[in-house]
Amino acid sequence: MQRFKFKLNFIPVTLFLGIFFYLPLLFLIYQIIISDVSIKLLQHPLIVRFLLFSFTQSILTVILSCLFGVPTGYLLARSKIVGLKFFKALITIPFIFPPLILLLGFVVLFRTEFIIMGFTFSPFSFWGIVIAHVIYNISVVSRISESSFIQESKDYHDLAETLGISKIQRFTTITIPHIKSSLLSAMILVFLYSFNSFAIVLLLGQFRYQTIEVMIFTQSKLQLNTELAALLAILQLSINFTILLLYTKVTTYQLFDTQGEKFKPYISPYKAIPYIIFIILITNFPMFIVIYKALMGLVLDPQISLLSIFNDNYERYLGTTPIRVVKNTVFFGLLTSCIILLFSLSLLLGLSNLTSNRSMKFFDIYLLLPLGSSSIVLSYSYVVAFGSYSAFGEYIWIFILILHVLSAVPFTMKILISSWKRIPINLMIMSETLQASQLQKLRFIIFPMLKSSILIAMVFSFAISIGEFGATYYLVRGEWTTLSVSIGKFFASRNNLLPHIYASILSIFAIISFILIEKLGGMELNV
Amino acid sequence: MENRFLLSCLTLMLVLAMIPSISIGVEGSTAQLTIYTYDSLLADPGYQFDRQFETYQGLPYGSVEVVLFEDAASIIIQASAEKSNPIADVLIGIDNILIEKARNQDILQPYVSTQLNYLEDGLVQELASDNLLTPYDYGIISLWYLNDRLPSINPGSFVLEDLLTEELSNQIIIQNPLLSSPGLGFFLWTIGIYGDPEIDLDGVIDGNWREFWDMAAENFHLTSSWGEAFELLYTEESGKSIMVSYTTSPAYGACLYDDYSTSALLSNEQGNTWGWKQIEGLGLVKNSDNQDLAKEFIDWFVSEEVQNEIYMNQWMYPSRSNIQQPSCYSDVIQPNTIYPLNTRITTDILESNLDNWLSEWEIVWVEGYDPAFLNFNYLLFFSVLLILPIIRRNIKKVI
Repeated sequence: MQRFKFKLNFIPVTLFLGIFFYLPLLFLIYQIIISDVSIKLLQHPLIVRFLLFSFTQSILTVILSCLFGVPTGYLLARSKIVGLKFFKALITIPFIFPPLILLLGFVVLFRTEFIIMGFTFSPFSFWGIVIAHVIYNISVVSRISESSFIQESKDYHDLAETLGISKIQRFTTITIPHIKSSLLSAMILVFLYSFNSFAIVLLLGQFRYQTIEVMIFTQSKLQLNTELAALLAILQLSINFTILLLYTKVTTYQLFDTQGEKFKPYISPYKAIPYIIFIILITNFPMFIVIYKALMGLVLDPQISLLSIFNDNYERYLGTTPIRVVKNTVFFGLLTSCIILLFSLSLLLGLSNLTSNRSMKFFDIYLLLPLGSSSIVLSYSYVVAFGSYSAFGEYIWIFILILHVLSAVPFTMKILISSWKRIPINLMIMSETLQASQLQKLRFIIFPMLKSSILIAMVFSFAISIGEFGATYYLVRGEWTTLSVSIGKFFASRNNLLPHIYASILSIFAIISFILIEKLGGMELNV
Repeated sequence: MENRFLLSCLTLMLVLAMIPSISIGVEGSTAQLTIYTYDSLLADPGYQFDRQFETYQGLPYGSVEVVLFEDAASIIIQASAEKSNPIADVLIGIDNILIEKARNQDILQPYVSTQLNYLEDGLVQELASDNLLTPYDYGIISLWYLNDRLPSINPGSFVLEDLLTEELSNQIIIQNPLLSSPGLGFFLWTIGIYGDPEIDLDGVIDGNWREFWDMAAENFHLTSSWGEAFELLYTEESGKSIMVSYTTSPAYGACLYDDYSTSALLSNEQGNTWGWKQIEGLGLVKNSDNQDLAKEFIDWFVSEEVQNEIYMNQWMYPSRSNIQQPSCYSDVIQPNTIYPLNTRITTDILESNLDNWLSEWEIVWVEGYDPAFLNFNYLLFFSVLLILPIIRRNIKKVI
């Protein structure tokens, strides 16, 4: 009976992920099995080269992000700065910023090339790609390491100090082992983001540099080489799932010493502020630049600026009217939030009857796997699985919406599960002894304690949806173009006003989402 | 209390989502004719062919739905994905190179237009002798440059080799031949001029196209589409002054703005002017739902009504022979003065070699820019990463 209940509660979640995540991927694998594709296709010299590029740029991104991010995290945790919350917010914002804003700002700043002390730097190069990734990922590393530094117990340091152990030795023997596991999980996340990068590599790489994501896109969408695309998709999935399993292993064995006295901030603000401001400047400049450009346009010629949104000159180019592009983005964002809300409730209903560690671990993996499947792989598998049905073309917006939901699922679910783990087990046991039903448990215990987490998940999924580029770019046709896709289309026209206005609108949405998340209690980045 | 909160939260989100959805309309299509084409078709300054056809046929507004793609290759890809259950009735924009892909995908159905007799001699044969496509326009791929930025160019003596000089190689924007029709036309232009010794294809001059591209890869700027190249050409900071386009491109400024600041450039090897001729056609989608209306659309598209709009909105030559050329086209290099390289690279040669050529081009392009030793650098980087922990361990032991 217990088993039956457990299964029944999980039906909505299992069904949704089963149909829209696992089934298309199975179709993809099935297509490879029946199509007699030779694995030799992967021996193409450019594929080996692009794979080497993907690994190299990802590892360099991880190293550089840690180099800048860990000291930032340390300073945020240990320094006596007035308005620390404000600085933290500015450092976190880039994490929820759509990558297209970063790209636009990055290219506007550096134009086609930039000379620094005699060295010519072009954003459309290997280092351009690495730096764009680093700017995006510094916030992840700094916030994760910051929370780890905060949780470090001072007791061991006091003890070591009385034994005469030097500051450096204390750092290497106490602090580093303490932050190691959370730093490792941050490194894995950063690696995963850069390795699966699509927009940044597609637009800055100019086809000379390609990640597997970009390769799948060019092979399936531009060169009609579906067999190679399918093989690459499987390769991508295998690498991602291996990394994800490593990730779950690392996060499972995280041991934080939450007991004992914590460090009080002691670093002087004069030492900390210059570095923190430097990090804020480099991570936030894309947003500043696009907003500045749009504002300048408004100041210099308000009529043209406003008309660019409301007239239909761009209709042919965008495939729809400029104002409809904004509406589409809001439409997808809000519906994604709604579906995430329903999904969260179904998940919590299921979790309310899930107490064993083993089943918990299984669902952790079950829900985390969508993180390992990139938007391009999923979009391509949708075309393989559903493309032959006329409804797929006619109701493409539903599939785009589902892909938005799927890209939000792993993050939002992790937010909920980590909050769920904090529910006192006594309350659950008590409710069992009082023979409370699943719905009663959900209503009287789980929901009141997880209310803010659900709202954070909803707002966060809205932010993910409005910035989503890969899946929408892959599947969209004309009328359903979103803000991110439009900026991508306009990418070459760097003097144009409309992409800056679009990017500013996206920035405003992202900032509002961020403020809401912070008001609701904030969230940990090590999702 | 919680229930009320939950319910109000969900209702609010749904209501908010409905606001844009009411005005954008999420219902399925009610079109009677669906057309797939690329986004710049008859777009500048603009001829609304969908609305015009509705008027011509007496159909209600919205009966013709046009789905726009970034390029012609995407049209074929989409139509191939829907092959078993086609959505589009007509595909517009497939040219004399891409037709091979469309033929291999088996997405088109032959249709002999009632207007064929009025089209220019040879165009149908050159595009699709099996009538899978009906030609609606053609043009010659050329280089197109801004006169004031390149005053030293002499179009009469220009040869392709000149593009590799220090003065010009940093100035040129090309389009990716894997993604763009003009880009592919330019690529075939180079093969036609230099030839391919590996398949015994003689060029206009002795050489090998691979050597040209090997040198070009370092400095040429690559874009994925014509539109992107155009934007870059007119972005002053980019410092570029030539792009791959059509011989008719200077007519755009001349006709609309009385602006004669740009010129077209073809190569003059062995005393003749050479160029790649691109012919674009439209075709009937195999097993589509609205075949009768689709056939009428194809006939209408090559009728005088639409063909009269080609010069001034599409900036190409109309396929219909009796269309009067506007006077502002007088400075344009006339097609009958150009030797088309298509006669050297025939359809058969294209069919058996194009995929290999493109695959080789990609390798030359990537490795030419980022020479092979960079692979070695990547490997070196990984080796250092692997060796580092071993070194660290040994140092610890020594200490």
